[in-house]
Amino acid sequence: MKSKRILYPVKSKRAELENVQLLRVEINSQYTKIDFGYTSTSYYERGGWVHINKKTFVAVNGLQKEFALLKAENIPFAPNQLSFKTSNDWLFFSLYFEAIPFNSNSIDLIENADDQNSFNFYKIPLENGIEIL
Amino acid sequence: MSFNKEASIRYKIIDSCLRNQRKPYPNMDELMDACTDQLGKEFSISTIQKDIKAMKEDEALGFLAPIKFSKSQNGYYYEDKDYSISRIPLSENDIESLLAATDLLSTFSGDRVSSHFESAVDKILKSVLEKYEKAPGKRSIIQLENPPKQRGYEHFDLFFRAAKERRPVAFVHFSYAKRKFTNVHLHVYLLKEFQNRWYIIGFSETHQAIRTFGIDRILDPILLKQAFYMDPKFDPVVQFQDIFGVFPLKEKTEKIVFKVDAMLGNYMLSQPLHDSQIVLEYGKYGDLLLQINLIPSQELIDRFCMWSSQLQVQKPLWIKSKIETLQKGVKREE
Repeated sequence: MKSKRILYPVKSKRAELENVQLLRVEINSQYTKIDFGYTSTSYYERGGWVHINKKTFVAVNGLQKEFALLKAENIPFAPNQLSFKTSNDWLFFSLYFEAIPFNSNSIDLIENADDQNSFNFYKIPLENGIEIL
Repeated sequence: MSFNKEASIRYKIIDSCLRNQRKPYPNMDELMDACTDQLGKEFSISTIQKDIKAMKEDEALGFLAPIKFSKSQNGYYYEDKDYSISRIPLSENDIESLLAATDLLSTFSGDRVSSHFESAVDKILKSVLEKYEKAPGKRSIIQLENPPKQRGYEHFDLFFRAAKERRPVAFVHFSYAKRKFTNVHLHVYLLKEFQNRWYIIGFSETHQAIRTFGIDRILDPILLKQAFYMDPKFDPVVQFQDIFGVFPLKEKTEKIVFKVDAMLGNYMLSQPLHDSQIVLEYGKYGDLLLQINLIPSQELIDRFCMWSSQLQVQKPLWIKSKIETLQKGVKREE
């Protein structure tokens, strides 16, 4: 029997980093996958660059545990960088974390809580989940 | 002899009786009974006799079945025990046509179709070419467009399955125009190709409307375990009959009048842009004033822009100014 997979569409933007969007959270018994969309901007020369800190983690609101980052897709781990070619580029990337409980109601995703330019998202609601085939 | 549907079914019934090893040598009564049982009506002896004669002798029908009558067994049989009308050999003409068809079919392999279809196409090509190998050195004489692979094409099989099995799909869509990502929840109705690009059309729960999405802007589609919704108003023929392209800019058809120079005029006359195209005026030097009546689309605007040195839109004014704005934008970026 296939293990259960639930998809939560999310509409979450960082006020400080308007060009990064947290789009979806998938919960299953193996891992938690979080998808992001990023659009490069003219604020940086030729769109700038991105990477993700390997120490990024997910915290389930109401639990003390931190859920570690396991894998990143389409984005390199720091100090490596993905440099954009133009300010018109865009990127869809995914981060895989340890599996969080199915009954989680909301989560935080923290790359570096002390840095405003990091990918930090707080109180991401997990509502209206849909079961994946 | 006319090859009507009922006769073709009788041939199959007779063929199946003649190949039935548990009840060999069927006689005329048994053949008539078999036809009556399966078709639910009586057939005369002469009908079945004519059928047997046609199966044996009619060249147009092409069976040339080796049917014999055994006096000792008082029944019919195939002289060649392996014969069946479903295994009739191909004529030279059939083989030529089949090889020409494989040329056409081969253009639908590689980057032109998904792995799902490619495997089927490949099987057909291999089996046909193994059996009826082309003469050595014979060159292909048909060549179709073979465009570079479109981004997102790897999702074609998933969308095909979603439409066929009626499974809703969730994906992230990136809008080039708005530079924005959106979560989309779609009930897929149709996969449509337009000018070598694939589009997915269905009811979007996100937008609460029928929407079209370019497959190149679709990210990470996932099949969902959820009930499928079929919009009773959706009709793929009606949806696209009055539009050039896939992305409508208006809801209703509009009369669009445009002038083309003599060179482009030749092409427009040899292949109209749309079925509704009419010539309003023939210019002295071959230039034409044309009219089409359709739902304005993004693809139509793009096509007009592409031909802008040879084409001028006269009506409606909003299309004319949209084209001018787009062209000014390109010049600014240069």
